[in-house]
Amino acid sequence: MTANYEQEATLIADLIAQKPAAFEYLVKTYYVTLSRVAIAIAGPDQAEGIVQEAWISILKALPKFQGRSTLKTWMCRIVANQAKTRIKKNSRTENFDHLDEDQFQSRFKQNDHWQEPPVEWDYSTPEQVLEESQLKKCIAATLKKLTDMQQAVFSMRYMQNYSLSDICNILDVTDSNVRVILHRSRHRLLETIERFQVTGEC
Amino acid sequence: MLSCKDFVKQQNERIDGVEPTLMARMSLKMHAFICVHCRRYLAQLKLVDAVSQKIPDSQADEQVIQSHINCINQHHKDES
Repeated sequence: MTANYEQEATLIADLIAQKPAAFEYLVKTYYVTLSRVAIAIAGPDQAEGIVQEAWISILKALPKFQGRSTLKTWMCRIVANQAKTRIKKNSRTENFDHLDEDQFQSRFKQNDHWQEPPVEWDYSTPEQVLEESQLKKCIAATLKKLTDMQQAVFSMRYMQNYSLSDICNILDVTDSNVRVILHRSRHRLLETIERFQVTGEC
Repeated sequence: MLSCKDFVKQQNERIDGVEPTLMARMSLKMHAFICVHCRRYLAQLKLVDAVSQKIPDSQADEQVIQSHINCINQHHKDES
């Protein structure tokens, strides 16, 4: 069974003491987040290798961790730096496709008022939306279709509760780009729920 | 008067923590008062924001997790 570390300080102490249960907890708890950061910066092909290398760097650097940020944010920065070094080495051109075309804009007329206004929904609480199993699947499918960078920004913001400034620093994206990504991701979800409301399908 | 497109943009910025000025806040309020579509949009935007906070993060494959744990353990064995 995986140990449960509620206190970050205990986890850090056990990691420094090289306790296997602490390694297991570390990987199980943070792999998905760190992997997303690596994918967003260096692409899916290199992400696994970057995260594997990063564990070793993290454990080596841990005795010097001063707690100025959370452990999670500090680890994300290490992964991001390794990913950036890797893309420089392989001269991978940076991926700007996270600012793709915003289809929601076509819902406005030339005078910037609604051409295709939102339709009324039967849902008024998040529970009602997520209890509808087919709709939940549609939402998951929509999130999977986001670009790697969009997925990283969205999950860091909504699932991991990172601040916007931490997301900017870790992923090396400007504040306005992060906001544009979140804005468009929300519109994708809004249109997914709307489509389901109208057609009963994704 | 504020356009619907501007209303949408500013409400999204608000959700991401950009507080509008007093004037902008009044003009958003006024717009919502007269525009039924934007009122509906705002309710839906808030609902999407709330739904997003409740979506569980994806889980990694157990084998992948194990391979990373093995990699760390191997590294420590090699070091010692």
